[in-house]
Amino acid sequence: MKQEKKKKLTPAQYKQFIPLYIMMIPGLLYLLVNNYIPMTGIVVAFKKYNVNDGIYGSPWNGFKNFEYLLTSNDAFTIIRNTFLYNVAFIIVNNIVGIILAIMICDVAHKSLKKLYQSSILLPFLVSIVVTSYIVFAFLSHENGMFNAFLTSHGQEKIFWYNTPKYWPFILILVNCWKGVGYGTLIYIATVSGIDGTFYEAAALDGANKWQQITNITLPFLIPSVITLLLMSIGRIFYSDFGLFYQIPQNSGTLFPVTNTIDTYVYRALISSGGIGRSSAAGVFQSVVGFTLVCFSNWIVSRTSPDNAIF
Amino acid sequence: MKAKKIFATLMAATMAATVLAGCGGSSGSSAGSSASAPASQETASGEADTSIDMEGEPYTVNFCYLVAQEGADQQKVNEAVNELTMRELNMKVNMIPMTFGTYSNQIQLMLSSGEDLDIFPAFAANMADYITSQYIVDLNDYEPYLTGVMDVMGEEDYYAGTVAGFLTGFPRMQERGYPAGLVVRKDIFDELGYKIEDFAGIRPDNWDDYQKVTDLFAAVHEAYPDMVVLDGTVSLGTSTYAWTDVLSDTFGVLENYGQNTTVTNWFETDQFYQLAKLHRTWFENGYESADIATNTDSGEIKMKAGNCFSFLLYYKPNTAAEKLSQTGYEVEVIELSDACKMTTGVASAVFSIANASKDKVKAAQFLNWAYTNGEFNDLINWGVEGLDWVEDENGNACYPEGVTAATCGYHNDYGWIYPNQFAGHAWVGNDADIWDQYKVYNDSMMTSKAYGFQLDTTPVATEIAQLNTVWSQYQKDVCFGILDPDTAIKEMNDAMYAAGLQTVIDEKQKQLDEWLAAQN
Amino acid sequence: MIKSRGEKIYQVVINIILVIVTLCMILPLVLLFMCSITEENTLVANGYSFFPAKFGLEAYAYIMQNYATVFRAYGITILVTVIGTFTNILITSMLAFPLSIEKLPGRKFFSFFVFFTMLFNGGLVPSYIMWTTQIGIKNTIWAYILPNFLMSAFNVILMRTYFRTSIPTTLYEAAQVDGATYFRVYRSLVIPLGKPIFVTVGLFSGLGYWNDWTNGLYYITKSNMLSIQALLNKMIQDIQALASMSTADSGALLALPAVSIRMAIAFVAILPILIIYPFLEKYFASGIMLGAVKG
Repeated sequence: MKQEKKKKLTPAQYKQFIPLYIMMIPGLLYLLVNNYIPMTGIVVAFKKYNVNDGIYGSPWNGFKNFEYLLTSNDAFTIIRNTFLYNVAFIIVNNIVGIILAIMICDVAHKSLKKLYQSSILLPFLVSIVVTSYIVFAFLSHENGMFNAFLTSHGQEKIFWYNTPKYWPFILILVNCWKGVGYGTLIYIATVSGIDGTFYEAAALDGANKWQQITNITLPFLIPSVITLLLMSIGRIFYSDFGLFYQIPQNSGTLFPVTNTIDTYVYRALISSGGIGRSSAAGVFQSVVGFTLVCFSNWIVSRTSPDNAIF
Repeated sequence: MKAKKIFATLMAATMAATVLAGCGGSSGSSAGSSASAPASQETASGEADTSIDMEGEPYTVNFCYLVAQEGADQQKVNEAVNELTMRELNMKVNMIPMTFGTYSNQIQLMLSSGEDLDIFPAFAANMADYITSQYIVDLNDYEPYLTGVMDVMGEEDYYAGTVAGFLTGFPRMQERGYPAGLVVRKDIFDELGYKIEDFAGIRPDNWDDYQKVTDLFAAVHEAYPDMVVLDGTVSLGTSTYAWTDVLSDTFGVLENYGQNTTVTNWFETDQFYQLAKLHRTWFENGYESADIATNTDSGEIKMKAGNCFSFLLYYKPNTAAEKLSQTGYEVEVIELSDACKMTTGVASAVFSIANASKDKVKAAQFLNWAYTNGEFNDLINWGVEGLDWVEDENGNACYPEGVTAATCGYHNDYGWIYPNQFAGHAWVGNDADIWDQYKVYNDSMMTSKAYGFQLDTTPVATEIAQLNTVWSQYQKDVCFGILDPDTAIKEMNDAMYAAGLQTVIDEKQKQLDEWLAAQN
Repeated sequence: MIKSRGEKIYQVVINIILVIVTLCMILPLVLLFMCSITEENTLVANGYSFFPAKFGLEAYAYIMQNYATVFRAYGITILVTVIGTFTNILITSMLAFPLSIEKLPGRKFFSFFVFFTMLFNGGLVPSYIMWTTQIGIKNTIWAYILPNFLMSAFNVILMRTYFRTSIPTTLYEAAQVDGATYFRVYRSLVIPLGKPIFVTVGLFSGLGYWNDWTNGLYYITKSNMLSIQALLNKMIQDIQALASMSTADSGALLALPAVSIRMAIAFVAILPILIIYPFLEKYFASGIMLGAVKG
């Protein structure tokens, strides 16, 4: 099959692609230096590292560096948390992002539209530590605004930082607040790229707003959604350390619902790191993510080949 | 065509990878060759020539140290240090100041990449990794060059940094014990009619004594209902150095200030239960801040803000003077435990020589000098004399006229993490004989039977990593009394045993027995 | 366009929803600002509040006192953001455009080559060795620009998808019939038509550079080379590290900026973006409109 394809192109036809290859050089070179060469350092996860022999020369160590992570009693909890939170984040952020994007694009008033567009990205600018201060301002047991509200209405104070059941919601909310602007912006760019004549034609045919959205806007968004989904699936075993460590203020009672692979690794290696063991976690996350992505990409390429990433 | 391209890409990647490997290897091998042969200056007779080379090309020592914040006068301090070392050692110093927040990341990167580095402060918890990764050198090999350190430290403390026969580094000159204390505001304390003598002799062999503290809290809480009675980040249960010899990490300890030699699980002892129970009472009665388990601001900050009566800490001879300048309040210190000298406390941070050092003999000579030279210790702590500090009539250091804490270009007050603060000046507000007081204090305290023993954590690294996560899950909630100790301690212990606590205890006992046998 | 009643109701509903969303996004930042102008002791004693009992401008006085540090840090951040963002858009689009050409031989391989970098990384230490010992960027401005942020696979794929879905291939073919090379197509078709995605990626890249403190943490050890985020991060890290050390002399803690100052610096760090954003936004909106009217 590949042979056939090749034969179809004559040398003259190849020539037209040369500019494209030249254009790709800087980007590919950068990926080589920034990503591929350091990537060979992955072997350190299987080594007993010492600085004299270097990354490649150190003796092999098998899977010993992975033990602390995978034999732990918390292994199930941290993998479950990482996975489920990411699934929730992907679903919530994408749905909210699409809804906001469609609404913002439909706003008729120009300067209001601008205001909405600017404001959704603002939380993205706030560092996670500062975000944790803001969350604390609301949830603090002693001085928090929520507890002040509760006590002034004759309710009991809630010990937020010691009550695990609220935290899945709080974390999903905070993550959405902070991150939704990013996806929304991508969707806004896509929605505004849709040819306006489609809508005009639909309106002439008497399609209402909802029908226009489901029949025109959403189908146009599908490629972007699939691309974003595939990319997030690759990182499904990574977690934003700050979100799970700083926002719950490192509170022990909350570990069952806030402990993820990244926070676990941090706490386990806080006093005695060693680059072998710290990269073991990264290798684990990458391998699982890679497998999942290849699998999902395979499914996508079977159903709609145009949308597959590779 | 396609295959060719892939091949070419792979080739390029491999070549580049070889470059990377080469760099790691080459810097390593040069370090390796000199590591095994410290005798670069050995004479024909085999006797080491320890004299300082004042003639040759000056060697540049890369000296990493911790600072409170980087001041504007850093460059001037570096120049002054250079002038001093050129005069005394024919060496130059490249000072690499780091703050605590960035230190652990940056030092790890510098060490693992083999970057130029001679001397740096290393923390005990990392030692096993530093030794297996060959980041540091065994100082036993350089003993002839380190006689000055021996004189300053005394033999006992000189060897405190030994892990399985490998001398990792030297402790700093500071207090040697860490007893628990409660700092209380003197104005309120006096107003309510208390006297510090009433609180003398509170020790963990009689738990009823601690009721006095609870009663004090109750009285303050009644007189000032809006005030947080106890705040800060320290609890009795997390002040582990104050009760037992913690043998590195508290996972298996020697009870009774290390006077036993059987390794036990401290979290199952009555002592730990009683400490948690005390906090439970304080928490339930509202003496502690409701946010205490998640709070990250120190007791000093809380007290300075004016709404906090007391906080816990490890006290030392000049605690009261120090807290006055830090909080703006006169304080009393209620002692809650005895002081005990144990390896983990003394060697918690040591100055080590990095394997990446290009001339380890010269690095050792510099380190030796750093422990004996008062001028150097003053320079790195207080800055340039006349510019950042001056000597007052008592012989203490203080700000020059017109200079304040806000305008001073270099001021660390970090004597405890520098080689030898005792050789330099103490800050104004301390007694003139403060360093003598320290020496008396250090000599007077009891010593753990395992003093000098340090656990080699390599065989149990996996278990310790897992125990760290369990401890970090429970420590604040149990020790601050957020959870009911009657159920939570059991739960914590179950989690600890599941994470391999018994394996760690057994390993500790084994290594300790071997060490004890070797002592006799 | 004729406005039907349904359309009017729809406008009202979405505006109400979006106003609420906007408030949720903005109010926490207002809180941040209020904290920065709250008197320090009030903050520690009473906690954070929209309506503090006592105002104080010590935090901003502190920043003004250290204006040299803060302004230098600003300068570095701005320089890095401008150079980095521009280069980023350029090389990202030059890689994304060829990948969007369906018939390019080896397209699948190169797409995978790009995507693979999102999944695997060698960890910090090998990258650090590469950048410091081989290329020597430690303590230079390049330390902020080069590692990780110059181009991201994410943006390449984003742009590729956009080119593929939003620029009709017929346009390329028409241009090629006229004898244009791909260079020309890129310059005269892709650049003008790709504006919305250029602005989007530029915005992401710019924000990435502006918000980044990790490169500062790893590759910068000289305090006069810190960017504004690296400075803020270092400050907060120092506070947390000292608080978690039980044997430390906490005297050092008091030398560190207090809560209101941390808030003030965080606010000051966002401020320029708040000022620049409307201008960028205008461009963004025009880019979008350009996208909307085309075709």
